[in-house]
Amino acid sequence: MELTRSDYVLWIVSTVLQLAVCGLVLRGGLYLRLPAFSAYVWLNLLTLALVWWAYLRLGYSSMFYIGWAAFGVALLARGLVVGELCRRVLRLYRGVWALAWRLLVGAAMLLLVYAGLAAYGTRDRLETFFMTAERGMELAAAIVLLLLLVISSYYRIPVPMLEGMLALGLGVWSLLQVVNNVALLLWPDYYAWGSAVKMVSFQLVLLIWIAALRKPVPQEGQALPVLSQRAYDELAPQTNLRLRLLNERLLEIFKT
Amino acid sequence: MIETVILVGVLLALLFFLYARARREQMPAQDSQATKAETATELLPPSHVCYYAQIRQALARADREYLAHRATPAVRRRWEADRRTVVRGFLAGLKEDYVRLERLGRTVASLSPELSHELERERLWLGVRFRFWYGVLWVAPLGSRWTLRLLDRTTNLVGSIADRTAAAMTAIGEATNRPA
Repeated sequence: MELTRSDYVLWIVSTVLQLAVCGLVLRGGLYLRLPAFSAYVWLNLLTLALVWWAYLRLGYSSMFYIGWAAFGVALLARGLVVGELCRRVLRLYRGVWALAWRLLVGAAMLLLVYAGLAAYGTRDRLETFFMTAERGMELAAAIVLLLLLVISSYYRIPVPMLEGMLALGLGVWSLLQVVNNVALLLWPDYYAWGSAVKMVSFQLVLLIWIAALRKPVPQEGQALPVLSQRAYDELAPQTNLRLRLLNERLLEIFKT
Repeated sequence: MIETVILVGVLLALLFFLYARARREQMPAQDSQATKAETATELLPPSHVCYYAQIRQALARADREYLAHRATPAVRRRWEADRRTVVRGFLAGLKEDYVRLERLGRTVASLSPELSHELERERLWLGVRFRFWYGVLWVAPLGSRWTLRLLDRTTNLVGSIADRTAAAMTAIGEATNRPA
């Protein structure tokens, strides 16, 4: 299969954007704060170089296997990034994190089992098997990120702008891949388009990440938002007294 | 294909909505005055439930029956409209009380080092129930026994969430005092 001029343009744009993201990661020292994400963006760049090399040296058929293998590794790395983002957002809230990680891991496991079962049903054709598994994993990543935002919103936990935008980018990418994947499975003629859509959506995500990373990474070390004993000793009796009064008032209403 | 597009569309909309909400949550934290005012408001006791007895009285069937014999249709219509406005005002206040207490409970939970699964699940379930009955009451016809029962139930829920918040505070106190 010959690559067209537009394919080359898309690859070049992707490479430039990925280089920009990698540069911003290095500049801001993000590898200290988000090591999995930093490793992931570098891994993506290496994957791109590897696939290019395979196409130019070994031809399209070799590129297919090398491409899928590299993609599998990148997908696993993305799973680690999702986990890292969840931990980063919730880790300061010890009680919520202790409750949330079980929920998030449980949801991810459930979705991955579903993806595995769906892929197993299509094991006769290698490409369909890979694509079905990929769709399930993308959906799992997107739903875990959505759950993270639901939990943050429920407990009014502020999501730092950096982590929020990185999660948004990952979520958008995963969901767009789900649609792209289904279209590829349904319409074989869509293949050439599917590849272009995949690259353009990745470029969109890279732009979101560049927007997130262009500002210097804010300093860490905010005070832990755990109630201090003194604050608790003052707050709890006051609130309890008010709640008790409210209950008494309610009981009075019901008695009359 | 169309189901996937709809599902992904809904999930994408949710993703952007939740992201925007999470970012909005971040904003007041930067304004300490606004945060203090908000926290102080949340600590106020529910103020609308105390009017429940009057509201229940306003919905009594006896009034309707009395007016059916004594008042003109125009007066009755105006009375119905006024009554609906009053009840909806009460319901809005009740929701305000509820949301405030619920927020307080969630904030306390988020700041605590250990959460009770049972209490968290119960608060979540109470929230779902409250919103459901609130929605039903908002559109329910006034004056029926059914509406009165619903009002009882919804007002009771505000009491329950107050109970739950008190229990959560106690549980957190015990967890904080427990030696490590």
